[in-house]
Amino acid sequence: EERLESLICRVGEKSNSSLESNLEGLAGVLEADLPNYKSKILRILCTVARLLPEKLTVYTTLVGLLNARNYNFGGEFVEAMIRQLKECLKVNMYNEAVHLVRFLSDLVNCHVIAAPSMVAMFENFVSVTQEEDVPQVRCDWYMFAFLSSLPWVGKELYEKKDAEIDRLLSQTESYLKRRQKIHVPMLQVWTADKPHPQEEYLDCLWSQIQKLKKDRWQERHILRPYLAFDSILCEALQHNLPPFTPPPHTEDSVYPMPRVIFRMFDYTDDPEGPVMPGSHSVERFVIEENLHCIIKSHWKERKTCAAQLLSYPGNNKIPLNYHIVELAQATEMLYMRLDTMNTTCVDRFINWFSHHLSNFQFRWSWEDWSDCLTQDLEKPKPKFVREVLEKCMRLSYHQRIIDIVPTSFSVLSPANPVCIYKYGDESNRSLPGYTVALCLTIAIKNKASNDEIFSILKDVPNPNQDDDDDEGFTFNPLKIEVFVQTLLHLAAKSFSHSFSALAKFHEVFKTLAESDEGKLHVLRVVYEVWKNHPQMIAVLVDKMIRTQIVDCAAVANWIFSSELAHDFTRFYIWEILHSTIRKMNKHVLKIQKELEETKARLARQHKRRDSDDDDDDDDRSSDREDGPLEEQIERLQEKVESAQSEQKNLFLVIFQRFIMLLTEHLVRCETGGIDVFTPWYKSCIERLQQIFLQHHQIIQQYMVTLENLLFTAELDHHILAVFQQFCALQA
Amino acid sequence: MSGLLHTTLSGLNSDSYCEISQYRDQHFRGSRQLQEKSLKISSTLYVGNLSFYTTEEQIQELFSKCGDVKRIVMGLDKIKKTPCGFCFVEYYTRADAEHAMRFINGTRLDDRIIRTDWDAGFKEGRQYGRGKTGGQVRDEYRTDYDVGRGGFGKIIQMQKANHQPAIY
Repeated sequence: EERLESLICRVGEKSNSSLESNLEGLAGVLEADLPNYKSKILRILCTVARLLPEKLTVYTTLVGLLNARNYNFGGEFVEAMIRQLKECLKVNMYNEAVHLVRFLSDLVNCHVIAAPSMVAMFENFVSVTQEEDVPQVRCDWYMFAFLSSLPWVGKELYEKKDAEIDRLLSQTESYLKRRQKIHVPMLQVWTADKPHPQEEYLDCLWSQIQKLKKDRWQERHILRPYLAFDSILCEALQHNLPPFTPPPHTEDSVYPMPRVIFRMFDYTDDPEGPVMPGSHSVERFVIEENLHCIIKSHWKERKTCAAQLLSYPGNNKIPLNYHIVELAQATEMLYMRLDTMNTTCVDRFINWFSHHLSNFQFRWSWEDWSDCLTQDLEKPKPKFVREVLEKCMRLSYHQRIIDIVPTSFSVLSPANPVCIYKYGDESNRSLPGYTVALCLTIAIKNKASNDEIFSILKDVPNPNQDDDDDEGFTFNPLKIEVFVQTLLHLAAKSFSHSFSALAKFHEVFKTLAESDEGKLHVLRVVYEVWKNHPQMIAVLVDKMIRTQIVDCAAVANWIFSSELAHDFTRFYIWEILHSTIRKMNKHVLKIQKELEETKARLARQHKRRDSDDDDDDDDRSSDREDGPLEEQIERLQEKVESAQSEQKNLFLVIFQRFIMLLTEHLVRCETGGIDVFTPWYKSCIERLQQIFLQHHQIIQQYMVTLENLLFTAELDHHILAVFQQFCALQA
Repeated sequence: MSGLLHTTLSGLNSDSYCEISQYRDQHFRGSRQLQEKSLKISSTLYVGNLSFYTTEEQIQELFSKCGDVKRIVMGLDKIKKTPCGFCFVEYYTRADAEHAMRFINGTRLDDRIIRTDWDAGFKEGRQYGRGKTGGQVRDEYRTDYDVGRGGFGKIIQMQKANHQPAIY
């Protein structure tokens, strides 16, 4: 059985014999095994159809050969595929379902499925666009499944049923004209249309199919092994697909979200050699699909993945290797287009480029980018270089970065990541709390306990209060300042030292940061001490959340506070915020999982009792057994609700602060008569978009609250547009 | 034919970068079986071939690309208590550690190709080198000159010292 799986999976790979003879040989082997292993073979073939889309035509050919030898087997295979397709649609596996539909359509080319029945299936797909009260993304998917199969089977279907296909294409055209595209701006990498328009994926595919039809359905890129077997296959009897009704839309249906096609190269970017297919050629579509498939199949094995990409069949006809290898050119092109690039994409570019440089001794011709030196530091290009250099420093060290950039670039170099201790100098002795800081320093060095620290801190006056409430630890910003500054300064040597300090004096932290203002102030002091070392700030905030010194909402409020306004557009701020949100999300999932597991344990316990043969009349003992578990479930239920509420509150705080900040800017611009679209504004509005896109699944739960509470009709249309675009993604 | 979607292809599940290596810790408390079991579920990685000057910060930055890092323990010379070229990186989840094995192992940190391997889990004491002179065993025996790891191997260094021509 393993042998069968291995034989089937490996057909089509590099071999001494031709693909044709391998397929013929395999078909013979499988035919012989059918009496004993039929269901196993059916299962394997269905699975490769689903999981190996890059070898689609290899397997359709194989099925074609089997069908020619054994008509019943062909019929059973088609039935199994339809069952699998239905299963996929039921559980929202839409990407796999597309591959299955394409497989079925290519089976027409292999004389397994009769063309008219395939056309009938596509007619049912396209008629989904006539359904009422369904999300647009549902209709989109069925349209996509139809259109994206045409490169494979368009020619054959048109030859047999041209009138029907024309009708379907005209229905397609009218659907595409009337569907809304509010979501597009949110998904585009660049806000400019030059040099390449960022097309919506269905529009792009439609243009490609229209051109394909104009070219009389001639498609030259797809490998079609079945052509070599035409004489055998055309003798085979074909099967009719059973009528396929698309499963109805349900509450649980989650359709794929729309995409924007990412384009950065065209044929003008290639020196000599093969020409790149145009953006509306169907070859472009097919190649991009196949490349995606290769990466999706082989991402775990980077050497294999690279080898597969570089040995892509037909790669001598397209400039594939050139564009894979020419990273410098790609980098240069992305740099040149930074001005209109979406902030989230810039983040990725920064991460990738700095990581790349760290593997190549940071060698780069920085002078080529000296145009950025004359620009305002907040503009995208100088900002990009600054962030890259900061990331490079994190992967090396400060002096290294100073050494690798030309002196003209020193204005963009990162700060030396040293700690700033306000009580460090004798000259600061007039600062309130200075003497306590000295005292604390000595005590901590002498391994003082938490209690000793508390008693030292008692001496710190509270600038906020007139009557000092000695016993109650009400919010005392000066106490927090003195303690946190001193401790972080003593522990500044490394992350480990700082983490030890947080752990050792956890009790003091918890007490000082008990109130919301306390938490906020702790974060402020951390920033004051470590503002030159954003990485340290990030790891400290992470630890403080995990040890519950501060909570996620405090971090969110701190990020939007006026103290951080100067750093608001810096990359590290958003890394911290998204990391915070992720921690919150993981926390909720963890407790939910615990609850599910405990419920399952209780269910198993009941089952065991029910299946017991003992006629145990002692009901009390069963209750006693259930008791602790039921209690646990109740407690976990509360915990889940509390965590979910905290999670919702976190998002509400974030959205609220964004709205306040953006509204302020918009009002100021309006009254001042200045242009709204500053670099800061672009960054801020795109950061808001990023919150929606990066955490869309969670946020989908809050749509009603968001619409009624925050993103109401009174909101400035600039801000409301972001919300509307997000709504459009699943509409 | 039920549950078609549950069928997987064993050939497709190749994940060679995540396989456990031949190395077994001789000081591991427990059977070989237990050690292998621990390696297969571990979220902790041993990281080797670091420079003596590579910092916790650099390690944090690189390994954070694969997920949230729970803890980094620097490997130390047993006598000098200074970094001696290895460390442990522990993630919160195995999945994140697997990403590091797939994408960080064999790439550069501080200009050196580093090597990651599964570790059964950090225990106090395991942060120290086990070589006779305090560092890692490999630095006792190696014969190359490695600027980031104290120059020549320890044995070679001692040989050189012993071969100093007598001045008097």
